[in-house]
Amino acid sequence: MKLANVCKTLLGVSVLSVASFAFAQEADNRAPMVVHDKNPFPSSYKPWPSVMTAITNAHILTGDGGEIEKGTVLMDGGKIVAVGADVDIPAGAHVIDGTGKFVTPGVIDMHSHMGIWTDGGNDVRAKNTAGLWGEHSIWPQTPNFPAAVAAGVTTQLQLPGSANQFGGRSVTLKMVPGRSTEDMKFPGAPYGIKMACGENPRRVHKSQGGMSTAMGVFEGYRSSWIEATEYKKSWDKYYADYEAGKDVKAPKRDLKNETLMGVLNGEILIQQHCYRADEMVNVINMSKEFNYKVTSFHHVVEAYKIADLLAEEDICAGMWADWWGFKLESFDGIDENVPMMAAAGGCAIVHSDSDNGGQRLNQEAAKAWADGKRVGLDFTRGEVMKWITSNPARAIGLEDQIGTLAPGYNADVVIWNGDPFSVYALAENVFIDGALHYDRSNQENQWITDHALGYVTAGDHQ
Amino acid sequence: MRILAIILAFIATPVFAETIAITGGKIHVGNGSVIENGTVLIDDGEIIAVGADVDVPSDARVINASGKEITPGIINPSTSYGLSEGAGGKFGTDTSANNSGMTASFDVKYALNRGSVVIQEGRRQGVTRAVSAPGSSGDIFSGSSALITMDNQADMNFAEGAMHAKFGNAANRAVAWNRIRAIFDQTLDYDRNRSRALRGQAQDYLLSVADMDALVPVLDGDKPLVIEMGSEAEIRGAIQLKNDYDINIVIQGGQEAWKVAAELAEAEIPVIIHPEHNTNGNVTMAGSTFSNAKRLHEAGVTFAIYSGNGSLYYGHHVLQFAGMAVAHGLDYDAAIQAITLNPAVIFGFDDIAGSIEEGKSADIVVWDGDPLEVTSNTDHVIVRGVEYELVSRRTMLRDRYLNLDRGDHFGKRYQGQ
Repeated sequence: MKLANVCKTLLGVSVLSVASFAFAQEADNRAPMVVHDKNPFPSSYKPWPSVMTAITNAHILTGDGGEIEKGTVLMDGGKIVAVGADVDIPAGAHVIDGTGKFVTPGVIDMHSHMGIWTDGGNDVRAKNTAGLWGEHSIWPQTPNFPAAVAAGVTTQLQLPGSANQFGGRSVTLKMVPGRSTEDMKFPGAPYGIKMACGENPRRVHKSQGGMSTAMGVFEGYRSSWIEATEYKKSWDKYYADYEAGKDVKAPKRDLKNETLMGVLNGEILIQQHCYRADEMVNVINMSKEFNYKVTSFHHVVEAYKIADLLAEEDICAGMWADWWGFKLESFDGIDENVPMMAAAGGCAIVHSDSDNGGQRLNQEAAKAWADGKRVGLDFTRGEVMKWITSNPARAIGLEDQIGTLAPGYNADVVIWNGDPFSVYALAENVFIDGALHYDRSNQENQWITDHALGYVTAGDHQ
Repeated sequence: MRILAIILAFIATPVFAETIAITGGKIHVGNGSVIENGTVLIDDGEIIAVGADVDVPSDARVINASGKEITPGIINPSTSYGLSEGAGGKFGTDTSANNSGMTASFDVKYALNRGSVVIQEGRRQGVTRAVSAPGSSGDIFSGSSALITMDNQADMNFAEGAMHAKFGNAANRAVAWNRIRAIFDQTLDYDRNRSRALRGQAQDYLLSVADMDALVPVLDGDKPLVIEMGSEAEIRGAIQLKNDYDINIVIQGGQEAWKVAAELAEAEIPVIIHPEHNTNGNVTMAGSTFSNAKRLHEAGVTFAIYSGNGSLYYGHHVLQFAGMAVAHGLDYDAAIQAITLNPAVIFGFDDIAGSIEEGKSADIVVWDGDPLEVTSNTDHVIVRGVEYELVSRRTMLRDRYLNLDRGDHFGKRYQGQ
């Protein structure tokens, strides 16, 4: 591997020196090669202590579509070790009798606003604020987080708002207490960039004397991609020239274009807010024009109109079960959107886009399931569970770590007191990386954030 | 034939109210009681009999509801039904006085849109009556709500609603209480010295004469005043206000009402709550909890459930929220009552609707399962004795795209490369 590539792939290493570049030990008089740390705010999350645990006799929904009516989930060392109807329980394992209970992966909300809205999720200085990093607006002490874990949510994608064409980077959080946002960050999770088409950027920027049409939005997008492509070229050329032994000066660093270059290099995922089918098609064509991939659409109330295309293009669709109407671009939203997307073979996801609704993704998925069933789109419970576990895991680039109960996956596990697709279901126990983070029956140990301390007693929010 | 049915559903032509018997279902009466395997008999728009032993006349159209559950039509106590349509453009939303200078004198009834497809959708989901309430005027008093039936008929506005106030619109809580009291005192003064006031020989008033005229029925105790507030301190202030002015107060929001439950029960102040409210970054309402409904019920407070301010696209979500309250300890029958009879009681039309009892309007919903369960849906919706098809603009969109190969949408499929 060439030295430049080694440097370029330096990821996830906390560089202790103040300077954010590595020194290439070249035997020449050139300035050292400039390599920017791609992870300057590294996760400081440490899994809590855990014991080997077996949940037996439970109704298991594995998250990837599977369903085991009576089985065991075994976890050890923070990972899932075994799942099945017939699992040997090692001596010394802590055994939880799951008779009458359901076990699922931790719920994943691929679009949450818990914690990023403390001082507003939008910085309306410019149409393109791709240089913003959402994690710098997270408030780890929001009272919402404990409520989320009590609802079986173990992972959330937090994003800046939709006022700008490029809002800023997303951050992936684990629902664990922390003194800093870094304490909650999912180690090694890929970054995303929030983009927004439709009414929001038009409305906001029109009021600021900026663009006011969809044409204007797309012109802005494409101009930004042209600029980002040039930026990427300048860095690629710099590295190529440096490797060739030339004495070259590094391009000037630009946070906005650094994020977009990350997209063009396939390292940063597109999280695209979009409502209408016609606008989604424009976005897809633009991604082909500039040679990048749209990972997920968010809030797509019209996914059902182009479900076949979204499936074909392998783009996930984050949807509400039944939100519609609150603005003109949402007026065609229908209750069967999610099942129609799933029936087309696409990556259907139920998300919240809320600082509160993320506590009910299981109920929201259930509503969509029932509405689909009324028109002949039937899915098994196991398939429906995908909408809030393995599919959102895919949308945030973590499908090989979370969202599925299978050996090797993180032991993010929820024990429900009954069928999770019921309004009466409550999460009883929630494990994150094998450690018990929530126990409904033990209020002593329930998480109260600093902000809520002295105002509430444990269990009040549940 | 299919096209004709859809057109009928759209225009909601008044149909001659027929004789209908709904048989064999589990009837949630709405008043806390349940009749297993009962019959509801409807004639001329009214419920004429209900019970386990009802003779079905030979000319009645029978709806077999065996294995199904029956509730009164759902009543949502805080909506914008008929006042907004996709929030589009200058006249897309008619919900508020919108800083026009009017406050208490604003009344939504003149703007109600009987043709709203949003009403049609709410009806399909089981909502049969609603309080269509004003949004914020920019001042404390928002104006009057209208009571509506969800049938798109010309006479859907069947009664006057309440006066609505938004506490949060004052500079702060202290200003709000002082301003409300000053306005009340001035209104009483104006009402006593009306002719002097109209001759211009009275003091300067904070509100216009028209706004004060609108507040007179509130001060006479004839019209409820719905105040939106959540914290314990605010709710205690509302109890004090009721004691001082002897008016009919309703609290909406009431996140911390459970902390004042005994006092609310004693003062006979009903509360309209949102079971979804369990988190609050605002420390003044840090006591928000899923257990609010349960605790209010146990203290004997009359409460109804709403689905958010000006809710109209999600009016039926009160069913899900009632179910959530049950999950968190509320008695099941009390949850049903909180979305049927109680809103009718709070807004003074329980003589007409809110429960399946003889003599009341035939507003009935037949469900394919537990009405509070998220996987249940409506099978039959009857408003004022007329059964409506479960069709809406949204189901038509669905049907257009359900089978892409059929090509009844525009353009067979995306052809781009």
